[in-house]
Amino acid sequence: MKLLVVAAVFLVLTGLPLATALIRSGPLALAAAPTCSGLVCAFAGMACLATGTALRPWVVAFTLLTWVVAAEVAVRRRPSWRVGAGSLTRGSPDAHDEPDVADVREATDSGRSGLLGWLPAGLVAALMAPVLAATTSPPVEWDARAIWWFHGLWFWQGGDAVARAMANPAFSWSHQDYPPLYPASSGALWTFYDPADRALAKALGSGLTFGAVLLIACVLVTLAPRRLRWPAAVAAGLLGMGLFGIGHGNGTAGHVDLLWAASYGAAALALLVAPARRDMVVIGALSAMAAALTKNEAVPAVLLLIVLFVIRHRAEWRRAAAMAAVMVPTVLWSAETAHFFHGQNDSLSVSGLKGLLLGDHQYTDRVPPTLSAMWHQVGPTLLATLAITAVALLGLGRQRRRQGLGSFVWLPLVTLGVAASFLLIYATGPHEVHWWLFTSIDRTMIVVRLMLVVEVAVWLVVGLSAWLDPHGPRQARRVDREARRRAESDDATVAPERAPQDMTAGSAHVRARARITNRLLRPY
Amino acid sequence: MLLVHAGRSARPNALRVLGAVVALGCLVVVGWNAGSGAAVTDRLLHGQIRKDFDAGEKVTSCFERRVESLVPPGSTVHLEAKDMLVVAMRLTEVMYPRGFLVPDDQPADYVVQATISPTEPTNCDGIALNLRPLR
Repeated sequence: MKLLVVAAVFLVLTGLPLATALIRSGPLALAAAPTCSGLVCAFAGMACLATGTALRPWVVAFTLLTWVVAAEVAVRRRPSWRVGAGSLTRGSPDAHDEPDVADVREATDSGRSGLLGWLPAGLVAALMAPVLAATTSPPVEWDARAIWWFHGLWFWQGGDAVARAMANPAFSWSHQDYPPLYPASSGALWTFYDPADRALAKALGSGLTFGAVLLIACVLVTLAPRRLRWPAAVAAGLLGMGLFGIGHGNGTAGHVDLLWAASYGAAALALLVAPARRDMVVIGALSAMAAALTKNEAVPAVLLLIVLFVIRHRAEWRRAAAMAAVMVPTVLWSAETAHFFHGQNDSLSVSGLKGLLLGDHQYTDRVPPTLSAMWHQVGPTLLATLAITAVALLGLGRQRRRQGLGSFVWLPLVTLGVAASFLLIYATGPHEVHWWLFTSIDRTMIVVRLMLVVEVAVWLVVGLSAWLDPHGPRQARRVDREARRRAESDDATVAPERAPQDMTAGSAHVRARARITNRLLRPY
Repeated sequence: MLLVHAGRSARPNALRVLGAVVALGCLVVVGWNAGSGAAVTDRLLHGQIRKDFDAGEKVTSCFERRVESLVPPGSTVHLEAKDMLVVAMRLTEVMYPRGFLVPDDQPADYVVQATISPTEPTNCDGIALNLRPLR
């Protein structure tokens, strides 16, 4: 318990500033704090490796930087949008900009200072919390010791030790090229408290995973209409607990399979399903970045996610393409591993891919056992998801769009893409396939099952809305129509070139409201 | 598309029923997984897995104590663990950073020998560790 508290304090101190600077909703920022902490530590780890210096100064420097940025943002936000009864008034008179989408959404949708109240978020966390009890088991899991905590020891010792270990052929079984998020976080915590204590690193891993899963659950709650936040919070809490079940104990054992899967799930949910709000785009970007810095197999998956995000927002594809920036840290890590690591990795082999496409039996013979093992892992969940989607599409497709949610095709597309990438990796990889599948398929399929269950949870929110809040969409339509009419009358009366000077807070609100309405109504 | 269009003409009550059916179906899937999460947690705390973990912890702690008593801090080592690849991997990370394992073609200060010897008084679950200086 003490170790969990220490890990939580570390995650909050190093992650919350960045999260609060980027995410306006307090509960969502707190849920994103572990992800941000992992990113801060990963950046510090990459910097210490690049410079051959100690890790601790970099962690302190990056953390202080995020505190400064958070303070700056807090000061700027002080004359913030005050949310009144259905209207926005500004604390400061120098208003050049109009309220952004998140502000308007807050004012019109939740009517409170955040999209997600503290109490529903607390309920979600409380329902999930029992899984953390498993963290108290001894730190002896194989991959955790052989890979993640071993790498953590390198980072704890400093950049020169990491470089030396990466170049050491005697450590080749430890996959020295694996990304730095969890090892650098463990190493960073060890530089402050109880060095090389693997139980502490295990608690930290549980905290990171818990944060990523909590983020999925909290984003899910925000997808529900305001009146259904409490039932949605219960469903999200059960979902969180269920994701740890899908992880087979991975989430609390020091493995990162559930961590990257949950980060990826949060990114996919925020970018492809949630309405296009600023908070959601930020959460999606941070989570995608964290996933790609956690495990190598996340890299093609994140690339796919970026492509689908751009397709979803094809009307604004130039802005959407900026999402590619989330790959920058991964590119930097790849450059570092290319410099320091000279061994063989498990990633997709180009020559193997070529052989597979040309029908080389060396590779094609590996496909049937891989498909069979994959089906064994995900078959029941896949069938359940397909059945639920088929029934839901009998009438809830429009309801889903009315709630501003992305199409039902996005998450299955992502899931299919991720599954296909694993099929290619197993078919073209360097290891004997049966042994490889036996030792890893239950862990690699976590992300696939997780994505399927998250899609089911989205339908759960839509189904709850149609069942318990049937008049919600009708009221929303009426409000939308009124907002559009007012926006059109504003456009007709205000000359476009004079609009910025003449725009009052009220008309700015209406315009922004109309814009968000249009976005919500767009058939993705 | 046909299914989607069918939804447009569906009456509110039908939609409510459909919503209830879908929500309950989803709740079964989510709830089943939540139950699995609770079961996994319980197994990790009380089941056979926990007993295996405790046994593994005992052996690993024994290795750690033995390495601490044998390997001088900051030394480079070779490792001899005939046909015991898994033990060699565990020993490599247990020794780090006290003893830094180097490849056999590079010079080292010591060689750590792991042998199966259940009769040795200091053995860890039947595996004895010994140190031999190379310089």
